[in-house]
Amino acid sequence: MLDVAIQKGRIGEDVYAILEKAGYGCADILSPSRKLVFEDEEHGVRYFWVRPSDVAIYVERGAADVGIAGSDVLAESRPNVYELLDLGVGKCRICVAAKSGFADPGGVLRVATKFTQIAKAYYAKRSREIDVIHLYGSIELAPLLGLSDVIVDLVETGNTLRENGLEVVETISDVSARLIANKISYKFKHAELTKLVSAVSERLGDA
Amino acid sequence: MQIPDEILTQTEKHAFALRSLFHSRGFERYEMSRFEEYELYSGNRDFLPDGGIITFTDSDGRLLALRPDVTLSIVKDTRQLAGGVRRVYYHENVYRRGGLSHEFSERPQCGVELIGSVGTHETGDIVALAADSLAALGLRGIIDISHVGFAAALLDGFGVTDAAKSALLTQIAAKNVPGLRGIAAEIALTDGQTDGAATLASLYGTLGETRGVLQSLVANEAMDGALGELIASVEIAERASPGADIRVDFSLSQDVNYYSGIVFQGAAEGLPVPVLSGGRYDGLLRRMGKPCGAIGFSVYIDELRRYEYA
Repeated sequence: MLDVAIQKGRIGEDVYAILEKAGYGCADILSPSRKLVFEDEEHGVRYFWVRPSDVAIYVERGAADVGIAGSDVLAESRPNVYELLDLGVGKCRICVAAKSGFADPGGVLRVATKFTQIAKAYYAKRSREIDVIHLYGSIELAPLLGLSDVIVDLVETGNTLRENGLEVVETISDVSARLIANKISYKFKHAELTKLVSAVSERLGDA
Repeated sequence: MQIPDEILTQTEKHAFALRSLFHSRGFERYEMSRFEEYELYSGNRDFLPDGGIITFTDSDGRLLALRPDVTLSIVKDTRQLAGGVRRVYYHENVYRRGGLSHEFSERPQCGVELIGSVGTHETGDIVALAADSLAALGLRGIIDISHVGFAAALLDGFGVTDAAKSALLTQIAAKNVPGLRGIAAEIALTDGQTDGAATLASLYGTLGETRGVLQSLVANEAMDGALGELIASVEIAERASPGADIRVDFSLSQDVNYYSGIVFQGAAEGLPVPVLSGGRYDGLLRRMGKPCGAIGFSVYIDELRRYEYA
């Protein structure tokens, strides 16, 4: 039996569709209910719906053998796990954005973001001193109110930025959903895990 | 003096089981003070796990540290050995930031060090003892083994910068083949080089299962030498401990500064983190002015608290 942590929401559902096609379907999983655990003995799989940012924690601590997490979350929390596949869904970018026509004043740059580690690493590489402002949501508001000079945030279509008079200044990295595995599970459930990885990667080839 | 079994904690029982095993294999107990001069650690930072050391000033003004590690103290205390080997075991607490919470804690460790004239035989025997240690603790365990020099020599053959090598090693450690291919494209590796590194990253299995693939990867003399050592050590270990489950896994070889050859890690089914780790560390002895070989491992007995015995 493989325990799979999967993120709630649209990306999680897209990922489940791939897993189902790969032979890891689970009855009732998409039915509207408040259940969090869904088991399918026939396919040897048990799914947990968890918050996107929690997937890596469940996997790193071995509560789940495998999980599907965004590469943004992985880059931010750097869990000690194996990263086995790029599923190519949930695609977006982590970008630096600012008010349209923003001119960098130089000196210490004020950066508002949920991704403090990514922001620090990005600016450290460029030897730029920053003042990180950690926010949990509505990041776009920060430059509008003068709270920050720029933001570091996920950008999918860019519509939210445009509607708020912001624009992308630089792209830090591309983001997509990744299949991760607990390092110890990988060893003790090696045959099951290898089978899952190859079945899923064949499905990705189809898409 | 009779000690009734029920007053011993699980951790104490684990420690005593290991001490009995090490004693029966001819290792001598090594005991040490809780404190060391800070200088010992500050001069050997790359040997220690990340995360800092607890220090304090003694009444005479010396800066002391709560021991974050046992091996450095044993090496410091080892005199020049003329041809012989020193076999010691320890059962001590170390003070380090670690585990999944990354906070300081006192952690009991029980392990062995073998210092002196260390060859393939001694290496194989220590790997077998690691497997026997997991068995002595009643665990269904796996020993994963790797050779730092094999991966390093593969990457050396690419002729890329140290930063690129380190980025590739990070991807190998995460078995991240898509990530590795991305970096390979950025630094313009050939298809053959990229496939070689990707094969190394995803390789996992017994020596019997992986030997052919490993031999096909050999591209230079250093890789050939490292592979010969790896194969011989595993064969000796498998003979010495017939029940041992030993798997080749190059996602272990990250700590290239410190380990200089065979490295290994022990895992137990049902525990999310490794419970044992060790390897050859001749480089550390050389740096401390003792040109001889050394190998050892440590069991993190506190990690076993959550193990559910059947």
